[in-house]
Amino acid sequence: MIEIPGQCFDGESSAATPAVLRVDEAGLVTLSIYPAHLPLALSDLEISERVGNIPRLIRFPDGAQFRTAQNDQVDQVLARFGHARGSRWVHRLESHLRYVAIAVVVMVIASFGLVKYGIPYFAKLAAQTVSAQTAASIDDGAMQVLDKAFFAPSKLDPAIQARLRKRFDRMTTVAEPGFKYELLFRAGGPIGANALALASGTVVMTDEMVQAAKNDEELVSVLAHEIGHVVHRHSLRRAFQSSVVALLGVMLTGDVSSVAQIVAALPVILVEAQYSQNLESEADAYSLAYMQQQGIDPIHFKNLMLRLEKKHEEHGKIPSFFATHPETKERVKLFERLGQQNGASSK
Amino acid sequence: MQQNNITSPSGGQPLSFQFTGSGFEYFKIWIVNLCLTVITLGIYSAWAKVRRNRYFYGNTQLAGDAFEYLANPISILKGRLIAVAFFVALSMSQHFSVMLYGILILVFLVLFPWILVRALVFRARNTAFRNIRFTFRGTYGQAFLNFLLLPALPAIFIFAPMFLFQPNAQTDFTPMLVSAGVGLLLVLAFAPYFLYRQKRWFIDNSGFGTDRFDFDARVIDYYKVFGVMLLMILALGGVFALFGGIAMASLGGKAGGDIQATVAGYWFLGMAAFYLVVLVIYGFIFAYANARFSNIMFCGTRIDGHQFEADLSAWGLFKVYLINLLGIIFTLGLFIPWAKVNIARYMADHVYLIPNGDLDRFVADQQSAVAAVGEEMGEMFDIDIGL
Repeated sequence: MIEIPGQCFDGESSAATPAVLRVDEAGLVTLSIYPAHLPLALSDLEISERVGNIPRLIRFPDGAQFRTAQNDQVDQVLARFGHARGSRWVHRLESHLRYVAIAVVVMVIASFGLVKYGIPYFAKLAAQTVSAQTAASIDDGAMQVLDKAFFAPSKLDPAIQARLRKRFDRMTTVAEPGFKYELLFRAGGPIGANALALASGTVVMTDEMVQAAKNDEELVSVLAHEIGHVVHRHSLRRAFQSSVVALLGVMLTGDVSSVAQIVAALPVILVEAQYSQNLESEADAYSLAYMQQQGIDPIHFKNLMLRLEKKHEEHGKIPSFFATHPETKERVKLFERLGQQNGASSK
Repeated sequence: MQQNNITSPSGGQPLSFQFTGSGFEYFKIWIVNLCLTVITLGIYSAWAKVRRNRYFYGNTQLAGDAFEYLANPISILKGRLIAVAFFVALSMSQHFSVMLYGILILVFLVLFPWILVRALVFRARNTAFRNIRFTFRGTYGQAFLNFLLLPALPAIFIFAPMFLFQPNAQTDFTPMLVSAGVGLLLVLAFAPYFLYRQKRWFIDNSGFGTDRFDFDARVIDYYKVFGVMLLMILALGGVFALFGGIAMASLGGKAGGDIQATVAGYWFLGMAAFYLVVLVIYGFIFAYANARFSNIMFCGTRIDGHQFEADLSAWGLFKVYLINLLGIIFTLGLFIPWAKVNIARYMADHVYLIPNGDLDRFVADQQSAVAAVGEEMGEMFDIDIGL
């Protein structure tokens, strides 16, 4: 016979009555203050799972509740007579330091793997299932917003515009069909020498970028990079990734005070910067592949990038872990090496 | 062993709430919760939430009896899935279609009062003390009025001119600025009153068993606290202006050739220090507001003749926040469970109930179960439902 002291609440009023729960050798349960009750089997009772050392609640079929702080005694009874129900293993995980240590390690590895490989992988997988037509249709209206926020009409010579458009059209005939490829020129204003791609296939190049280039090959390398963003559906992936990361952030910091949430915003920014750098590298790879295929020396990309970086350095630099693009030195390495090979083979 | 010493009538002796949990114990629960949540790609988070709340409710005691959290993880999971779907749709649409984003925001605004009410009902129904559940009876209309319509009224003055005028180079912007100024003043003038209405709505519609809570705090107290907050913010602004002026003056003194290099060298350090100082001062104002508004609310709450009291202090709460902030930064987040326990303990230590006779006379109320959709959507969108 096991006797567990505690209190009983009948569920109809808030009055508490001291009571003793008795479990006999056959596992049948009686309550001292309800001697009239027939003995009940453990399976007739609803026994709350153990969480830390909070009081255990044992609910009777009539709604009455027996409560006790004697967690260990309840566990003994369950171990002896209980049927394998509920999740006692969770409490076992929580109460053994060894398992907790393992949990810390598993969580760090799993979160790292999920953030570093899992999310980008699933984003890529999801984006690839979207057809070019669908991917192209999702950013209607984005150009108007950009025009309002940053750009002014281009002041570029129409002859230069026409020449570059012709080059661009030739490039898009070999790119994945289905997108509405279009090359637009704008005065960059606050964003300076830059180029960007929309999901639809629209590529915008600023006047400043055209002026910074020494020849058309350099601009072609940039256009190929932007087309790389389009065909790899980077807008879609970026949106998907940042949604999931924001969601994770909310989930993990949901139970912290709001002061601490300001601190927690930092990792989210770092992770998004890392994702952005990865997508840029992918677009670089597309550009490189195009240039090699067309027999254009990859060195042109390097030349333009270094020239732009020199220009930017006058305005100060952002540490690479915050930057949306990889370090220029890293980016041009590949182009440089392949450029030298090309040069050697053509001699 | 629990002592049941409150069944005998004890005239007017304040009963303190007690928090009996420990940071390390909760750390173990927290880390296992996180680990299982990550491994199951978020599915376990519903069970994790139940364990977390059971730990905190179960360790919060009044007169030797602990509170109980009774929610069913499956109903939380269902609500959470709907909330996640909506959150992802909202977040994705932000990147692509301004139109769709606007529509979803509008849908959310219309749903918001409903979500709020359902969240409060769900939480009340799943909180019990001595096997008696809490209740909540607020309606959509009142939630809409108190949380959307009234707070949005001053905004009309701020945003309406933007739609009425089509500005061009010759536009006189004075009426727009005046209108925006009036809107801002209205916000300042009515914010304490709106806060008071929200708290009153929340307390008056809450109940325990068949009894209802009563709210008799005075609006003027909300205005006093708000006034002090405003003064602190103004003083803060003055200090910044002063420091900004000093920095500018010292720069102007040596406007030489390589000033750029000097500035760049100290820029990052200066920004970091500035950020930290702002965070700490913001933390103090936040602590002050939280402590005082909580005191007003508790001291204005009664049920069946039992009166709540609270004596939270701005300084005491600020110390808890500061320790939590430093702990979380220096442990890269591992301190979070201790931080949460610290706050729960501080709150419990400074809230009291002055009983009128014993606590045995409450009677259970019969109500049907509710779904968790509202509560989970509320949690996803970080709605602070207070208390």
